[in-house]
Amino acid sequence: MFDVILTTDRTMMTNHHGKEFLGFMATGPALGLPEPIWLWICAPKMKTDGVGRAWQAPYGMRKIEAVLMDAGFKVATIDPDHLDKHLRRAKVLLLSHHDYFALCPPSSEWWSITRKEPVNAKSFRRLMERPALREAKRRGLKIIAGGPAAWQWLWKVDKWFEWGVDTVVDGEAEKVVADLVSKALNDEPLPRYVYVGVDEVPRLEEIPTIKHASINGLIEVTRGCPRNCKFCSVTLRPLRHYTFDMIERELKVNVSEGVRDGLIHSEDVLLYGSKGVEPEPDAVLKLHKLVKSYYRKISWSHASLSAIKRAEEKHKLVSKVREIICDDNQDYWGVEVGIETGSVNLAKKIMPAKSAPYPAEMWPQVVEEAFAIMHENHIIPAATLILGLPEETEDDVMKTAELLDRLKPYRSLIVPMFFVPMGYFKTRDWFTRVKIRDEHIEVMKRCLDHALYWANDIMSKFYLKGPSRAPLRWMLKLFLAYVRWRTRNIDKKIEEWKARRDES
Amino acid sequence: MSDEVELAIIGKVTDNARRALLETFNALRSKGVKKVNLRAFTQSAPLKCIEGLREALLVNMVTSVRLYEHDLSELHDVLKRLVKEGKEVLVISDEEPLRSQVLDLLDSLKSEE
Repeated sequence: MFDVILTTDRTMMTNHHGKEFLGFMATGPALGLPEPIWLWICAPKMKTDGVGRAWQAPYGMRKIEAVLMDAGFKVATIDPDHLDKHLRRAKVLLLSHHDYFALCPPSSEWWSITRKEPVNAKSFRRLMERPALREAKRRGLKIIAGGPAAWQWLWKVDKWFEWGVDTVVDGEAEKVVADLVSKALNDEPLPRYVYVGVDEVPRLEEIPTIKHASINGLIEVTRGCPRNCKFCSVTLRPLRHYTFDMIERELKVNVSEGVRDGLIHSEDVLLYGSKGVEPEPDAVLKLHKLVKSYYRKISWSHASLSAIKRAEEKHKLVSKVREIICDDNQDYWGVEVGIETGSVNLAKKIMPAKSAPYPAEMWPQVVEEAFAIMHENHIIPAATLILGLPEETEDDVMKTAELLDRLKPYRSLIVPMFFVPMGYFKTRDWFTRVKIRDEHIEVMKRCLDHALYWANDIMSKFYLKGPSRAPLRWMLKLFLAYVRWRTRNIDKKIEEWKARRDES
Repeated sequence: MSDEVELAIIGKVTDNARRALLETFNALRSKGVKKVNLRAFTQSAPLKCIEGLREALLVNMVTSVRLYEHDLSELHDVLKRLVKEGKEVLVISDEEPLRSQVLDLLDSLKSEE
C-alpha cells in the first residue's frame, strides 16, 4: 500500500501517557521493575488506525512525512507493531530517533552507572533485528536513517553495515529527503552519508505543515538559537520563528485528530519573535493566546533561565503568560531548562552568551532568580546539569554543588548529565573515557536528594493528580520507594565504589 | 572557487590522508564552499573507510557533505564523468604512485575536454 514507510521503535512511538517527561524513563534500564512494566510506564503502545498508521508520531517524522506527501510519494508513518506487513511491499524505510544507541545523556550515564543497557537502545535493536526487516532488506529495501541522533551512526559503523542502513542523514532534512527517496525508489546510487549544512536548511517558507498529529500535540514555533553555546549544534543554524498562520495550521491538524493538549517547542519559548536575546512580550503573549485557544493544557519544551528572569523583570511576562495558561484545565506547566554549571569561570568558557542579556558573571544569580520566578508561577522545570565538560575543574564542580543547595526551596527536578561532545566538541572520543570524580558524585548525590525531596509533591499535587492517574501515580511511588530503599546506605556504598575505582 | 566541490580521497585512509582531509575541509570552508561531494575510492572495507573519515565528517558543522563510496576500479569512469560535467575535482591520497597516476589521469581528462 505504501512505497515509503517512516517508523521508529516503541520508546519513540509513544505519547508516554500524555506526560512527556515520563519519556525520560526510557533513557534508563528497567530498575526494580520488570522491563514490560517499565515500558508500560514510559512507553505505552500508540493507538493506530486499521492499517497500522500511528495516531501520534514524533514531530520531526511528521515533517518528513509532510515533505514526502507534498512531493507525491505514497508514504505513511507506521507504528512498529504493524511494520512487518508493510515491509512486504515498501521500497524505502525511513528511521528516526533521539538516541539510537543510548549515547546521549542521560542514557549514557544510566548505562555507565548501572552497567545495564537502557531500554531505548534495546528497543531500537529489537526493531532492527526483526526477521521481517532482514527479509525485506534481502528483497532490496533501502533504509535511510536520520533524526537528531543521526551522528551516532558514525560511532557505530558496525551496526550501520550489519543492519543494512544505506544512508544516514544528519541535519534538517526537508530540502534533501525527497531527492534521496526518489533515488532509492529508482535504484540510483545513494550517498552513504549526508550532512545538511547551513546553506541547505529550509527557509521558513520551505518548512511544511505537518499532515497528522504529533506526539503530545508538540508544535514547533522556532528553529535555531542565538546563544552560541559550545556544546550545542542547534546554535549554528539560522534563527527562524514560525508565523502565527503556520502555528495555527499545525494546531488545527492536531485538534482535528483528537489531540487536545500540547507542547510548544522552541529552544527558548520566551524568545519567540525575538531577533536576539531580549523577549518580545507582544509576540509571546499572542503565541500563548493562540495555542491556548486550541489546546486545553499546554507546556513548554525549553526556556532559558536568563530569558525567564529578563521576561519577568522587565515585562512581568511570565506572570502574564501564567494568566493565559492557568485556568480550569491546568494549574501548572512544565519546561526543560539548562543550568549546565554553577561556575562563572566555566560558564564564561563554554556558554558566554547563555546568561545574556546579563553578564556571565551573574550566571548563578540568574539561575537562582529564574527558579524563584518559576516556583512562584507554578512552572515545574526539569533542569539539566553537565558534568565532565572540557576544562572543568574541581572548583567548578563544587560551585555547581553549592548552587544546588541554594535551589533546594524551588519545586523542580535537576538531572546531572555527563558531557557528550556535541557542537564544537563532537569529535571527541568520550564514551570509553568517562571518569567519575569524587566531586561529580557529590553533585549527583545532591541531585538525588533534591529529586526525592520534590518528587512526591510534584506527582501528587501536580503531574499525576486525580483518580484517573492513580495507577501510574502508585506505580511511580513504588519506584520512588524502591529508590529510597536502594539508596538508604548511599554514603557507605559510595565509599565502597570509590575503593573499587581507586584499586582498578 | 565554485560553491560545490568534488573531493576524491583515494586508497587507504591513513593518518596523513585524514590530516590532509581535515585541512582541505577547513580551507574549503574558509573559501566559502557550501557543498562538498566526498568520494572515497578504496579497496578496503567500507566500514574502515568511514571510521577513517569520521573525524572530518564530525568536525564539520557548516558545509553540506555527501559521502559516496566507490570501488577503485570505478576511478576512471567517475573522474571522467565529473570532469565532463565541469566539476572541480580535488584529490587526496597518501599512496604513491597512485596519487601521481590519478593527478596525471585528471590532467589528461581535463585536456580531452
